[in-house]
Amino acid sequence: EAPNREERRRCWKARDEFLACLEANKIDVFGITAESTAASEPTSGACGKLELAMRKACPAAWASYFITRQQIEKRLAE
Amino acid sequence: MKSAFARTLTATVARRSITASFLPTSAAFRALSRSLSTSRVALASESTGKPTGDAPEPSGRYKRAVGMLSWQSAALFVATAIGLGIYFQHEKSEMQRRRLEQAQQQMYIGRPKIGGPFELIDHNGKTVTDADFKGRFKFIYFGFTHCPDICPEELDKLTEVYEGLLKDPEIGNVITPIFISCDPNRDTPEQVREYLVDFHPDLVGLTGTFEQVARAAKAYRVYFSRPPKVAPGEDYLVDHSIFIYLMAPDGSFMETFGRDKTAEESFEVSRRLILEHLAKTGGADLAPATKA
Repeated sequence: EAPNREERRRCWKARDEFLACLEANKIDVFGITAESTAASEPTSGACGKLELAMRKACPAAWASYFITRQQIEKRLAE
Repeated sequence: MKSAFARTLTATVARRSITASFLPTSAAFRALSRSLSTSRVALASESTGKPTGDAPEPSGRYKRAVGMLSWQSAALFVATAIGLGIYFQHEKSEMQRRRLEQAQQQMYIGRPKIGGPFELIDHNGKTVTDADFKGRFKFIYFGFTHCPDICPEELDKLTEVYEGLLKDPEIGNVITPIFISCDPNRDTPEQVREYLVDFHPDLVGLTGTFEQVARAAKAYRVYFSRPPKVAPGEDYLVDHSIFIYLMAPDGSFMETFGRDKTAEESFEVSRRLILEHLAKTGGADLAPATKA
C-alpha cells in the first residue's frame, strides 16, 4: 500500500526533475499550490507537465510535502 | 607534598617512641641491652684495631637509654614508618579511585533517561516486550511506512551501519536493528513486514495499538503527531522526531544519531561505544548467540 523501493525511486526522480525545471525557469516556488488541485490544473506554468508527472508518480501527501519543503528551504536560504 | 608530611609525622612518632623507651623495664632486659651496646663497642674496636676512644663509655642511665634506643625504638621506628607508608599509599589510591569515579559520573550527568519497557506487536503479529530484546545491543528507529524520504534514508543509513558492525570481527552478531512505527493507524504488522522487505532482512518491525505505540514513543522521548482528520483512504504524513537510538543489552541508553550524522560517523561512534561496553562487561550481559 505504501510505495515500495522502486516506486519511491520513480517518485523521487519525478520530484527532482520538477524541482530542477523550476530552478532552470526561475519559477517562484511560492506561486505554486502545494496541495493537490485537480489533476488537470498544474500551477507551475512552464513546468506544468513535470508537476503533473510528479503528482502521478507520488502519493498526494508526498507531492504537497515536497513543494512545501522546497518553499521552506527557499525561505531559509534568503 | 604528602611524603614530606609523612616524613614529619613519622619523625614525630619516632621521637615519641624514643620517649616511650625511657620507661623503666626489667633488670634482665636492662642487662641484655647493656651487653648488646657493649658488644657493639667491642666489635668496633676489633675491626679498627684502635680503641674507640672518642666516645666515652656511656654512663649508667644514659647507657640504658642508648641501648634501648638502638634496637627497640629503632625497630618501632621502622615498623611505624612502614605502617604509615602503607596507610598513605592506600589513602592515595583510594583518592585516585574516588576521583576517577566522580569523573565517570560527570560523564553521565546530563545523559537523558531514554528507554524503558514497552509492549508492541512485531511484523509477524506476535506480541513482544522490551524483555524479548534484552541481551543484545539495539538500534531503534521510529518512523512510518508512508514516509516520503526521511525514513527510507534513515533506514538505509541504519542498514549500512548495522551491516558494518555485523561484519566487524570484534563485534559481530550482537545487535538487533528495530523499526517502530509511529503511525499505528495505517501500519499493521503486515504493512510493516512488507515495508521492511526493502531494507535489511534482520530488521525487526514493531507496531501496535495507538496506546502501545504512544507509550513506547514516550519512553524514548519521541514526538509524533496524531493523524489529522482525513477521509478514509486519504493520505497524510506523520510528523515525528528523527533519531536512531543505540541501546545497551540491558536496555539502557547509549547514544542517539540524528539526521546530521552520516553512516560513517554513526558507524565509528557505535563501534567505539560497543567495544567500550564489551570491554567493560566482558560480554557478561549478552544473551547466548542465536541465529537472527
